[in-house]
Amino acid sequence: MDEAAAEIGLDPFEIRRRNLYSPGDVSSLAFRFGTCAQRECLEAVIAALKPHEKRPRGRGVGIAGLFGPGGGTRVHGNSDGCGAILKLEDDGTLQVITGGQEIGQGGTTIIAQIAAETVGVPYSGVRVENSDTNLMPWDLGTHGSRNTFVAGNAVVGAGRKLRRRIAEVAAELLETSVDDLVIAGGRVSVHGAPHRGVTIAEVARAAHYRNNGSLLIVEHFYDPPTEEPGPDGKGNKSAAYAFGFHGAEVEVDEQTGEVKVLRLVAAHDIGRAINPKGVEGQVEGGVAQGLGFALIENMFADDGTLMSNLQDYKIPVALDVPEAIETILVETRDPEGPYGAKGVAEPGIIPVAPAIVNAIADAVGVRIRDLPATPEKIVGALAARDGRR
Amino acid sequence: MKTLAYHRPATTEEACALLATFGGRARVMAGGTAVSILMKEGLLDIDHLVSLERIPLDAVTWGGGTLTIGAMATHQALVEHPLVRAHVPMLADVLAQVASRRVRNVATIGGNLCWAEAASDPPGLLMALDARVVAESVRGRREIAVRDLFEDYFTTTLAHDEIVTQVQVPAPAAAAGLSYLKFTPQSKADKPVLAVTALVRRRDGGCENAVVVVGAAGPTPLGLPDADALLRGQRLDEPAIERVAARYAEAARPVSDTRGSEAYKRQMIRVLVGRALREAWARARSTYE
Repeated sequence: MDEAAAEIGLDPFEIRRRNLYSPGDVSSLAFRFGTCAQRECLEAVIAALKPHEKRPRGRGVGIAGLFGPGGGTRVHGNSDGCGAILKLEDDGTLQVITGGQEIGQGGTTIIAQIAAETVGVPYSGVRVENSDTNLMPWDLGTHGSRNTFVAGNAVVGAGRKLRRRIAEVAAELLETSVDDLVIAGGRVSVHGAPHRGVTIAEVARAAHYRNNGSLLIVEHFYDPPTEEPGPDGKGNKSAAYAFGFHGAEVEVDEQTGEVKVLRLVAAHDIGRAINPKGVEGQVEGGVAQGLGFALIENMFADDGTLMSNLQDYKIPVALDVPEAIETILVETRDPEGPYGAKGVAEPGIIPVAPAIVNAIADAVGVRIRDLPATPEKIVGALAARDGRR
Repeated sequence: MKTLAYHRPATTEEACALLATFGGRARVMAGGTAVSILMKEGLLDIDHLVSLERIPLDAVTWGGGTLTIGAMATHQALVEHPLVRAHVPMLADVLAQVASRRVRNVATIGGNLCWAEAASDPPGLLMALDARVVAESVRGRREIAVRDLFEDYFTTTLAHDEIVTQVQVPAPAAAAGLSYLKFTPQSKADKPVLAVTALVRRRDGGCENAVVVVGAAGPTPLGLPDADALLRGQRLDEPAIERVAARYAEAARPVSDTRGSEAYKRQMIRVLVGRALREAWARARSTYE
């Protein structure tokens, strides 16, 4: 993009401004964009990065944008779905059993938040089972930034059903109609008369301790309303799309080729941050991973064997990651997302490498096309440019 | 499975006796960070492991302008040691750059030198400071200059029955300028791809004495006293620095690996020797200025 901009005499920010998607656009691959804050993300990054400020020699800035599936991805056959089972225990604990697994991304927290919010119980009263495959219902997997969106929607669907069941039992106990009830904080009460109420635990026990009793247990299966791409790759494969822009400021040592990433600004349209700290963590983790791709991680084979240890296959550690990762969350409240959320995981990784490579080009005038952009490649490119090789 | 006898002698004499008895079938273990790698990789063909863990060999003392460090002192203990920080602060700074805190908590300074890994931070600095080790065996006790300790990759001039018990580090004159540059072009948390030390003393506005050591760029840390001598009596101006840096770049024996090609490493030696000399020169206070 930067090279195209230079070719037609635009600055790298303006060319992006003129080629943004807007809500309602349909892409060349037939992706139908609903909520889309690409423009807000771009302007936020430009405002934070101040690319037109004068910088000392060896410093430069670069930006890059992304869009990607933020509402599941229908590319694995007939299902992009996830199941959830909710069970209200007789002590009022809400047990969630979902196929959407935790792999360190924070899914358990998000699922518990969504379940608590939807059913009307405190977060502390939710237990999530998402790792025992003897119990877990179907899910395609935790990948493609789909866990919050797809598993979250399965839990929302199940939560609404359970809420209805709770209301039915409570209505009998409180001798009122289902529609007159308020469920919040683990308590069911009559609308306008908060003293007339029962706890969720009392409701569960009332369902159990009676002739012809029943369990307060429900299930829901959510499969995003999407299309599997045809042989031409076209089809609205995701139910929502994530957008973002990253901006990097780097300092390049022209003698050694070392690159120090001084700042990384990451603006993401995430629909809604159900857990803002968790989202920031996801973005920061994505930035670290993208930085490894950009500057450090190098696959090589030694006698046909891929490197087998982390002594030779280096990944970024805290010392390699910029102290200043500035995360800007833009909320668009996607109507299909659980409480408006879209996926956020992979978007944090995607623009990092191009933003850094663009920043290197801005800093020292050489463009590295073969990642990782190692110091040796940068020194080589500088020498080639200056005719020293 | 082959069994390995694990010995924990209580004194240096006992340890020396065990080594004398078992010869090449025994290996000394200090902190264990190197030995455990060798064992894991199946590279340790021995029958007896002689651990020094019970021998009190970690004292640090100061006298006669020299830090005397027990060989079993851990990197981390030395990083934090008040005598080290007071008299050779650069040693504390360099030891703090070795591996990770978990390794530094157990890896010892004696073990570091005896392991003789080329890609290591402390050996070059210790060489530049004219440090010595004390080696003991049933045959007696001798001192070896660190400069003469390394023979090849992972190979020292110690005999099979010798144990390093002390490292003696003369403190540089207060007016000397010292620079250590660890070059890690891939990840900042890495072994040094190059480890460059420069020590400069000034006199009358010129260089009284300069010592450069380039570590990690070949089987053993490289010092070129002839090249260093070119700087004696000179102001450290760019042509003088460039001449010496070029000599080191030529004489080093770096190898191409995943962290850089031989040509790149040579080019970087030139850059880094220059930078280390400039930094050491700037830090040195002239005796008469």
